[in-house]
Amino acid sequence: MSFHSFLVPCMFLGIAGAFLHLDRTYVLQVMISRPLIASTIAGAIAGDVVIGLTAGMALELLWLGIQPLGTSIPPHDTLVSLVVPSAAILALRFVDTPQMSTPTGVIALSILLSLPLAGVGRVVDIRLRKNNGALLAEVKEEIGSGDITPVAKKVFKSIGIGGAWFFVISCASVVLISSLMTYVIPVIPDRLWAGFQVIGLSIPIFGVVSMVAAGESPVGFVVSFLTACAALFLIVGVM
Amino acid sequence: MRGVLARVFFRSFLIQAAWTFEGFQSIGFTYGIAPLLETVYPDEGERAEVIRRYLKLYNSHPYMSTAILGATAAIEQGKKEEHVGTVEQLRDTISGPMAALGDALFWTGLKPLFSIIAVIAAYLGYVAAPLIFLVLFNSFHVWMRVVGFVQGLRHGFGLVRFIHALKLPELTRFIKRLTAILLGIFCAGFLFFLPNISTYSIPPLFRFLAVCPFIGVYLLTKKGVPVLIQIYVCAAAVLLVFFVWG
Repeated sequence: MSFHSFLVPCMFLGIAGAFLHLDRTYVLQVMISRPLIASTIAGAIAGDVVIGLTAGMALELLWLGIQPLGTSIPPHDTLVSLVVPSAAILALRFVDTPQMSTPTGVIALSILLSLPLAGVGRVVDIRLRKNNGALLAEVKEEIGSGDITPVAKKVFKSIGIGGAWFFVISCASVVLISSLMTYVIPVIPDRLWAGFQVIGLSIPIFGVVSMVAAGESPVGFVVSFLTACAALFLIVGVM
Repeated sequence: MRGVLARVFFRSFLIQAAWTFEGFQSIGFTYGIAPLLETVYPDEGERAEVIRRYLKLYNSHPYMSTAILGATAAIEQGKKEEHVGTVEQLRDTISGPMAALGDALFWTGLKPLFSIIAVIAAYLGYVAAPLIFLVLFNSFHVWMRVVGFVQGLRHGFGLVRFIHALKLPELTRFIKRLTAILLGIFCAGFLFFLPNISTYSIPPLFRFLAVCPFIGVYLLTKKGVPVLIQIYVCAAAVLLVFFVWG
């Protein structure tokens, strides 16, 4: 695989990262920034929609209970969702590993390496919003003549700066994590991959449990869980 | 005037574009209402004064803000001479409750509900699961924006009656219960149909022992231990187990 065929998807992933970040708060908010959608898009760009969707399912459940309530700024799940499948797909292109047939373990490794990016994205998001304070001060000075164009200019300036920052961060994160994975995957002993698969399958549960812990109806959850378990045992049977 | 109002509506999709800690959505709100202000206030000095007032602190739920923009537009078109008190009253009194209603309905209600529906669809093998989420969520999102804006335009301050009639708190409670039930069903199915780990085949009864660590995670989460730390600690423990006994 050539350097060119690595760099081009990274650039496209950077562009996708910028647009997905803008959807979080800046423009539209149609929720293409949700992990399930962002990961699928990233997977499609990197060349494997199924890995994207698989990673998206795990990450969607992991972040299920975290919401941008009031003026709080949540961890940047979109950045992680973009990086996890793309780093896994790009790394698997470089290394020859039997894990290619069952990518759950590789996705788990990618998630473990990428999770800190949620904090990085959040810090940058906060920094950008702090910097927007200067835009508010500027616009208050510039509207003296009653001209409304400074307001529009500040809105688009903010969008441009936010998009540019997350283009760079997304590109850098994909390059960093996928490069890291190409070095890490070959040195992982075979017997550990089963452990990574267990982690990959367990990650969604952390999100579900935190959602239940924060929710209003834990009783509803427990009752439906037990009822569904009983129904499954009765219908499908104990194997 | 219809063209101007259409511009106000579409600009509401950018209400959080220049979010600041000093004024929250004030720049976005001003940007949204700006086309109408140009029409209603031909005098530039007066308009500058009005814009300055709009740039004061404003914060609400982004989807609900479209309705507030509609109501503001109605007031601006009508009693211009009394607008100072009325528009500021409207923003001050409605934005907070609308933010609370919007956060509860959209962020903690509909978003998790449709997420879990889409994830279940994805686990069942539907590659179009992300589209299911987008269509379901945005049908409510766009409906709220369009109807909220129209009602705001028609009734101004009377928008409150329309929002009250929607019985959003009751709807949100119902959605949260439904989400909890779906989560329970999903977890049962997830454990029952859990794929084999590598070459290890896990009998179904044994799989449900996984409920024990879930209870542990639940208790830790309730005690305020960050989920991220729990994940890394559990991952380290699992890898250690497989390294020693794998």
